[in-house]
Amino acid sequence: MYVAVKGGEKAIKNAHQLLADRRRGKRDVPEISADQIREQLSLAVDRVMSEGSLYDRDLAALAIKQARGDLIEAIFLIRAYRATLPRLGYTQALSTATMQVERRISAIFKDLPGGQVLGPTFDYTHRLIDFKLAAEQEIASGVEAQAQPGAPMPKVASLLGEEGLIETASAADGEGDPTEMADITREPLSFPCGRDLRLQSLARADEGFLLALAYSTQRGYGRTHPFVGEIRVGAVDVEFFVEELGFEVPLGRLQVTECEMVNQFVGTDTLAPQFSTGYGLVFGHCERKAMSVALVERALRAEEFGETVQAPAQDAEFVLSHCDNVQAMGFVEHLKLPHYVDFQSELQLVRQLRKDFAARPAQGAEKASVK
Amino acid sequence: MIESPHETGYNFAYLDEQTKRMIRRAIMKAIAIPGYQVPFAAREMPMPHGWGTGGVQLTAALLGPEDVLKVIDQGADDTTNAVSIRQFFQKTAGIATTTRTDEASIIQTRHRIPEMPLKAGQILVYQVPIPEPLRFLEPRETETRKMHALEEYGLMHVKLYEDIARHGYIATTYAYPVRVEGRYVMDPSPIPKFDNPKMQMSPALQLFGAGREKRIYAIAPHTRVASLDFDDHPFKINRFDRPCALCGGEGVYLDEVLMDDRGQRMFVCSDTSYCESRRAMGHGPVDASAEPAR
Amino acid sequence: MSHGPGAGFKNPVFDSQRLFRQAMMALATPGQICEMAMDAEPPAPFMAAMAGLALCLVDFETPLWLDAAFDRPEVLQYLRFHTGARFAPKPDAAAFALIGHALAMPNLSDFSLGTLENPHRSTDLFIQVEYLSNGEGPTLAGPGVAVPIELRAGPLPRDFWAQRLAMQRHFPCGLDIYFVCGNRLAAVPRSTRLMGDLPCM
Repeated sequence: MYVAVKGGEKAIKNAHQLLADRRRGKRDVPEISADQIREQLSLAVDRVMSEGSLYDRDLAALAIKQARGDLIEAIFLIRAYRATLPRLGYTQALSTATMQVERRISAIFKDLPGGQVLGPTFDYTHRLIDFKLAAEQEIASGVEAQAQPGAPMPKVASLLGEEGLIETASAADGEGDPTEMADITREPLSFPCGRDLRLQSLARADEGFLLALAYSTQRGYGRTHPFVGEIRVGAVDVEFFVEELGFEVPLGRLQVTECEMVNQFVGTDTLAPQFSTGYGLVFGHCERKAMSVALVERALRAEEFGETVQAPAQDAEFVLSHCDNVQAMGFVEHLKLPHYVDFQSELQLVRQLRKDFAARPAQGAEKASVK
Repeated sequence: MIESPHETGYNFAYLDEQTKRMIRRAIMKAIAIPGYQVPFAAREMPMPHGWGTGGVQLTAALLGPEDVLKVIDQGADDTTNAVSIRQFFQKTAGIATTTRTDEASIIQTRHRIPEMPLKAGQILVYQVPIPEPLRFLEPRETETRKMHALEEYGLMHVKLYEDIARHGYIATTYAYPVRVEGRYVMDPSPIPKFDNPKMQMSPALQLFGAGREKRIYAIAPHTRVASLDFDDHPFKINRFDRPCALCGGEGVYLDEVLMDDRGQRMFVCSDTSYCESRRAMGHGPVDASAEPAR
Repeated sequence: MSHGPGAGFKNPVFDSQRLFRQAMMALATPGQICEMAMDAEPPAPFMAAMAGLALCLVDFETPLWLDAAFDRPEVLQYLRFHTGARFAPKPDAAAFALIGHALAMPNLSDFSLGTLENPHRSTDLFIQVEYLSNGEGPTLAGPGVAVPIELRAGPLPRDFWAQRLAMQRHFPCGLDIYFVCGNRLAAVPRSTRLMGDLPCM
């Protein structure tokens, strides 16, 4: 006798218990702490903060632990958490020009005011597995270098701007009143969308998706002739304007990565030739992500510069509708849910179609095989 | 005074009041413009997109302490995702739940409409993956929005007619598009087209939520809902040529259950609550033997 | 002498949920008169159901337009305090319009009717009336109306229903109208069709 499957509740409970067990792994290995993740897997933490759109290192570290190192799952935890946080207000725009820099490089000038600061980077490391790391060891503390100590470090874009060689940001790009900015978490994306919504979407977009799109522009699918104008990583102050006080109060500091791509632009009938820019700003130290954002951002400005929109990376509706990994993972993985009701309908249909097909004279089969 | 019963530190029914208000306003517009997809700022929910976040946000905005909630997936109350969503609201809102269609004030569903006719005052909340019925004909939102604005539904009719030309009938078996009150073409969510006629002039309020796609739409009670068809090819639903093997119910949607690897199968009600209540009333199999393979 | 704003919801979570459900059912069943019980203490000229609608639907995201009857310091203070409302300078910039003196209200076409692509970006009208009953009014039909129903509401401008009738051909653009009388509420959404001869108000 057939009995319909029951006990979904129990099955779920057991699955959660097993999950907790597997997350912990072998009990004779010490449990990893959120502090260890925050300090020693800090780039994973930065990615989770950046794509989770919440600047909280401790919470991101805990999410990584809870997600067994599945970063998209951790990002999802952070997003769901932040969704119900009260919105107390909007801070002033961050000033990256006054950033306390720990890394700053430009590829378009050999040297420049403030100098090149390599900082902590994988660049120029030889990618050889360091077997010594398998054992605990003392690590000497790093030397913080500033190329020209005390010298101001102007933005590279502003150096070019003095000659009018590069486009200047307009108020619509974010120099205006922060309360007038669109907010991706408070209104659904609609097209065409402004630079504010575009940059917000890209800042929380999946790194892998953006990396691939950025790469595609380099291979000719929406070429943008990019140069790394500047990448800077460091701490910026967050300030909040208090109406009752009439001035700004500091709330704290954030570590961010900023990338400005400088792109050749030959001009049109109405626009003079000058360098255009693609911009990327993300939480934490996420250099690959910031560069990808900047490349894709510039590609998405194709229409603005009278370029034909033909490559995937230039198509705002395509890019922005599919760049969010929390949305993408949910919808791809929802195929695991039962679909047997719809499948039953399809079964009936395919059986009917096959019956019709078999009843047809032989030419039916030929036709189908040609197709 | 009732306090939120949850142990999680979240608001009653999880969402904050500001979010609920935003969703409630979207629901009002949706009811006033039946079949039109109202954009709303869907929040990230603690379950994945595509797993019912749209329906969950609707239910969270609707729920009050007096509600009795039923959650079904594939017509069944005991499927894992239905269980999970029901537990979510038990935990965050502490409300009463039921598996009985006639006892529920709100029914959240994925892929089915209950067999038992709904009553005035009941609310049916559908989980919707892709709310745009024209999406597979035209992937761009900017374009489909225009098509709805101008009532340009020719593309949809062409697609359906191509089916007829090739197969002699329309080869769409679920998520079969409907026209609401003679105006908007609407996706009824992936319910089998068997369920489409239940939407027509239903006394219940029907709300549709697509969280990932950030759309809410609605069918007011007593609203005309016509499945798209042609004069010479009227809309038809597929009926099953046998009753439910457990309760003997006829004219209902059946699941095909494989019994072994030699093609033995049986057909049982997809609506488990309907099947159980019939059996409780003493109905049984019309013919106890499972159907042999065809 | 300065007073604080009158009391809002005693329990914001459950009061706004209950009132929303009542307003939603009113909208889903056009012409049906629904109770909207409220125990807030809004200033004049607020009727109970009007305050209920405002407190459960309005916030800083929805610009609000007030007619002359409502445009008073106590009302502004009350709404600002309990809803964080922002105020719209013109009727067509408002998501909601509160109308206390219907006879002097603007023409319906002065409010935002939405656009064909975005019909939901329209103004919802909350109109306070002195009488509200079924019978001896225009006959309503359409979605949500099981059997055509007459709705008598007023006093309203003489050509109110004629304006409303003229608006029907613009559907899906249009206005969703809520009539409030004391603690009772009836709705006429844009999907509702007026039938037969229109009575003169």
